[in-house]
Amino acid sequence: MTPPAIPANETERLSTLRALLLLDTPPEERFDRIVQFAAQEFDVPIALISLVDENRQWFKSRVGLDACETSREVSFCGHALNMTTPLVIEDALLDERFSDNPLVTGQPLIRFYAGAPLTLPSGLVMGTLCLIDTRPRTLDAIDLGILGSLRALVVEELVARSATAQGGA
Amino acid sequence: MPNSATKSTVPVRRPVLLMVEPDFMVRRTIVLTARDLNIADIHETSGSDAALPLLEQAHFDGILICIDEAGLDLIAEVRGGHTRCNARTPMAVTMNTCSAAEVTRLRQLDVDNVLLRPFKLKALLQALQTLTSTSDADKAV
Repeated sequence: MTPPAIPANETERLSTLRALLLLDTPPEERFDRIVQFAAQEFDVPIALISLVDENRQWFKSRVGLDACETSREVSFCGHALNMTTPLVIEDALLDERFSDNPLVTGQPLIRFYAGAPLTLPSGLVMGTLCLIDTRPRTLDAIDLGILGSLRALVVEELVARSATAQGGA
Repeated sequence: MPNSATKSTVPVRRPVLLMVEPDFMVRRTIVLTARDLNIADIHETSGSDAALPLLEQAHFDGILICIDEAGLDLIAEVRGGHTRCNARTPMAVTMNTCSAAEVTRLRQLDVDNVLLRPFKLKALLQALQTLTSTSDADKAV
């Protein structure tokens, strides 16, 4: 297993993430609606908005997963932080970065992962909107376009949240 | 060194479509994805009542209508040549249910494609691609 690399702008990224005042907050309909929509559109058992904190990934919205967080070291989303395009793992068992990951060898038995980075206008990546399946999958150009658009809707909500947080500071 | 004089870059106009769809998330996701994939530029509205003024002011290369109470009348307005659009503008519709009488009426109105809810966005985008392929907009200008 390859642990995710730490982004070069990690200090600034974490500062921005915490300033959003979203970590460890209750579910919100505006985020849940997007995640539920994504799960239905792509017919995946698990869909998440994952915010990558210093040592964990915490799920602001989740479908199909009981856990509200996992360690960052085993997270797929941590790998997506360093990308500008979605990270797509068609079959985790065939990818040496993930084949012995405990999230692959044990519950939730991840085989397919697609995570679209939640990139703010500043360029800082807060986490991902991600799709997970227990069977290998592929995404075509239209699928990736739809995932990218749903990601854009999440980012719009994060930006709105950022403005609210700054206004209240 | 490339010879730019021999390579002509002919501008291609992206099709402009009108989408009448009440569901905000469906509407926004389709608009963003169609633009991202270079399928079309989509003007959006949430209902048929709001669509008529748009159709009276602008030309569209294709129309996607969620059939609400005024939806069929809106299609008839276009087919009757009462808007700025060509009366033969390609059209697709989305519906919750579709009776035999409605199928007949849609055929009479020359509607190209009917999608029943719940549908996948992917199916809707493919319907839009079909609409744009039958419109004139992808021709060089």
